[in-house]
Amino acid sequence: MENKPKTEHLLALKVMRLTRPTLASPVIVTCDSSDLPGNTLNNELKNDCTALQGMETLAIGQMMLLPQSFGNTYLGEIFSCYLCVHNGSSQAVKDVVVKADLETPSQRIPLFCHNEENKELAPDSTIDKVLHHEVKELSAHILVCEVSYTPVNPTGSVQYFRKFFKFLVFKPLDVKTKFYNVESDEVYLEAQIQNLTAGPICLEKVALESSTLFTVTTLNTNEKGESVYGRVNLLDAECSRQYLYCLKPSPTLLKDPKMMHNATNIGKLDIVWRTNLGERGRLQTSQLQRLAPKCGDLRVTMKDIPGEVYLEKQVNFKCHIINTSERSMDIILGLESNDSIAWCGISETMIGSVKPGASIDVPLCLIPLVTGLIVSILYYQVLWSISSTIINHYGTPLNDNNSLADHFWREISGYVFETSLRLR
Amino acid sequence: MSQLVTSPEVDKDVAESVEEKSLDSGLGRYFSNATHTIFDEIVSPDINSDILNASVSAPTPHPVFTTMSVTTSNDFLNGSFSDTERVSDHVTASDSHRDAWIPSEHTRKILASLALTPGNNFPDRINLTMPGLMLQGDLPDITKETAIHFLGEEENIHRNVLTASDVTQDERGLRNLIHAGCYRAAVNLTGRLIAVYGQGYGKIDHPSKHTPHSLQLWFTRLALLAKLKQIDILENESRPFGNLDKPDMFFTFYPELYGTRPGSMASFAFRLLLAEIPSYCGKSKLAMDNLHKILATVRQIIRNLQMGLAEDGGRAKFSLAERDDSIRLWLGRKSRILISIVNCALGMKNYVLAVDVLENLCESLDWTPDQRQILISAIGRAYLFLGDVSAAEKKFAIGTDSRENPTTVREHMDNGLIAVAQNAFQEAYNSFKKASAIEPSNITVINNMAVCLLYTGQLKAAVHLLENAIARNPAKSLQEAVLLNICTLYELHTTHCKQPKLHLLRQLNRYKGDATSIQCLKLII
Repeated sequence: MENKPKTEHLLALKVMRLTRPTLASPVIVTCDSSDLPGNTLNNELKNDCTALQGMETLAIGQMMLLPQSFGNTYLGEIFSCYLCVHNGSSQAVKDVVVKADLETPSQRIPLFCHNEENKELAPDSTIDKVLHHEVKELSAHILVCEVSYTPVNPTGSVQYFRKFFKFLVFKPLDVKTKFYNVESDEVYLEAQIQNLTAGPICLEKVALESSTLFTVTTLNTNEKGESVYGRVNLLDAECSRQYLYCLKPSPTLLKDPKMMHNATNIGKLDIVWRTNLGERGRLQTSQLQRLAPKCGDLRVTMKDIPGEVYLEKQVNFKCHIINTSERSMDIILGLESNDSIAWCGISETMIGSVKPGASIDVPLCLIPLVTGLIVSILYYQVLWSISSTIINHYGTPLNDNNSLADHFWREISGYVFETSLRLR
Repeated sequence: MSQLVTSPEVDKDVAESVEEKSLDSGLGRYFSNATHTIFDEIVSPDINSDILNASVSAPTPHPVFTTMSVTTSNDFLNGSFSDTERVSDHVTASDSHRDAWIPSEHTRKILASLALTPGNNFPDRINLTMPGLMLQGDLPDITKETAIHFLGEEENIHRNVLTASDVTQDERGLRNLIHAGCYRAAVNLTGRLIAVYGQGYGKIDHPSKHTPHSLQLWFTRLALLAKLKQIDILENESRPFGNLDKPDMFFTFYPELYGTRPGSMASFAFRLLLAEIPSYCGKSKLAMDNLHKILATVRQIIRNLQMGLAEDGGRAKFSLAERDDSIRLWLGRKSRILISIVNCALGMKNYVLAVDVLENLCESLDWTPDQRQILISAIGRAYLFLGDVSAAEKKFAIGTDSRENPTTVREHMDNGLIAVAQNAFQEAYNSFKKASAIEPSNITVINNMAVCLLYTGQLKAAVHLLENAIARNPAKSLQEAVLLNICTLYELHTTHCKQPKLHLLRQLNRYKGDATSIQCLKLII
């Protein structure tokens, strides 16, 4: 990695990457006093500076060891290195200029510039600097270090050399997101985070920073507030973890279906991870965009459906119909009984006229005839007040408890709307 | 199967190992002692008292096993095999508990058939343990060779360390070498002694006879090879022993010598070492399996004892008090295995398992408050390994009401490491400095201060700090980890780093045995 200067310079430049130190441990071999080595092995262990004093059999010492290799560099980490310019000669030099720039694939970032004109650097003196840089780009980076100086002697002319330190930046995490728009206008975000680094990592923070239009609930802890990922917060190399967030639209947004439809900016994921002795990295995703559900002209949801219903007992609920079109509409609702349910009420009734943006709640009643998950059908016709065209709608089965499946009104053709209930 | 020839009194001949005899070797003393395993020995808080005055010739008044008789005496050279054999006639009660083991079903059947027809049916080679040295000749003294290479022959007059030929050719000599840090010489001496048993170089896969003494020699050799990280030799020489389950590893294999004495001829420490060896060879998963196998057997032994049976499940022929002592012994061994499992898990970066086992250990044993604190703080550091700083902080805070105002070295160290994790190296330095004020001679603390100095841009100060520590106490400070750190600093400091490194080499040559891995000086030969 290090290009040696071709001529012997009075100054030498060295660079060492400073990842976190590690904690050393000895080779732990013990025996009983009745064994041949007696207490010798155990005493040696007690005298070992890397052993854990007081519990020498345990390989969790307290002695820090300096990093012995350059290691991998990941996006989002702080790249730190020690830069040392040493005057190893026997003569003083002056006008020492030390510059360190980082060349990334897109730009050249100045990290350090030491310029002390007319000041001497005595023999065996050094210029020291610890450099830090937050890595924001992938692939090849080059740390370019330049040194110029003038020997303090009558014939001294300006000397110059530079060194290049090249390293690659890898992607530490893979983040995949999925959105689920549910009937109640809540949006669920599933974020799958995969550890692409070489070792286990601790995901210290995975937070969804949402736009002001939504309030976020994190669904990654149980009732006791404990993490659902287990007692030790650790994600092994190559492994993935799913985070789930529920976004509730703000009241203003809820009132306005159009605005709701246009609220596609969900927010950003902010991820902080740590590894050995707290080595830290942080990544933020770009603004996450959801695909807003297409409402079409009409939106139909079921309200107040009980979670559990009983066989041959009436089930009362409401059908909530919103006119999301620009025009006023008249709606006819039809009910179609089958083997599993029977509707109570009159089919093919005109339920009235609905203005653009307005909604109507239609009370309905059915009696389940078989147990299990059943599908019932209701269909409705919309009579546009202006054109009098009849447009029919249908949807896909609705699970109980407003689960995350896609729903309804994807198409403006067809004629049935289905719903289902869990029976007991 | 578990007939036991025990005499309640301790055989004085047996106990006559030079090192151990200064203590009363009465059984009562051993059993009345609360500490019962090497594991406890290691964690016993009063260790400091005997670290320094522990010399081989002056035995340490160690609570553990010291009073137990040594099955083989050190008369290997002046005596003959008959001495060793005579030992077998006098098995003490404590021996039988210490040596107890449950062989596999296969081995148990072979041993049973041998007992029925003694003498003539020698089992197949496949049922024999046939070790042999893989190293022809001696391990060289690398420190000496390197010193001569860089500093010249004249430097050799300053080297004053023991070699295998400078000590008595017996186990006392071995202990002397280990104590002097001359592991390589000790390995060489084990080689000579093992060769006498017909298990020398080239004898691998040749049938030979085992005694407790020969197995102790092998244990010592393999332990030292592990310490020296001589991985190839270690792996190859340990292979023939398998998991010590061949019939010839049990006393009943030799009825003419040991009668019906039950138990394993190889010691528990040897068994544990063999289980762990794969983890030194990059095969941690295998080591993990091995450790769990012996853990399962130890659990079975404890269950047997608790049900009133002998360790191997036979009829118990000992008093309740003796049984309780044996349960304590085996519970201690169980803990030692669990600690080994933790170490193995840490090596595999399986922090989940490590923390899990540690938490259980922490809850399940009667630790002294100090030991518990050491253990809890170790769990905290395990969290730091994996990067969970807040979990580590919570652990460090347990039981220390003085988190803000720490008083002990350990608390200062914990605070310092947390600060390191938070990238606050100056704060970490301050914590370590406070610890150093309490224990000025603690090289670990000084080393940590030096590391912090580097991260705060003070390379020169870091170098001086370590150099001064080494100058103050070279014998104690010239350890591999310290050398590795200081040489890393030298290399960063200057292109002319060879001179200070050679100065270190000169000191190693004068003050240390032959066990230091010379690579830590990063000298280019």
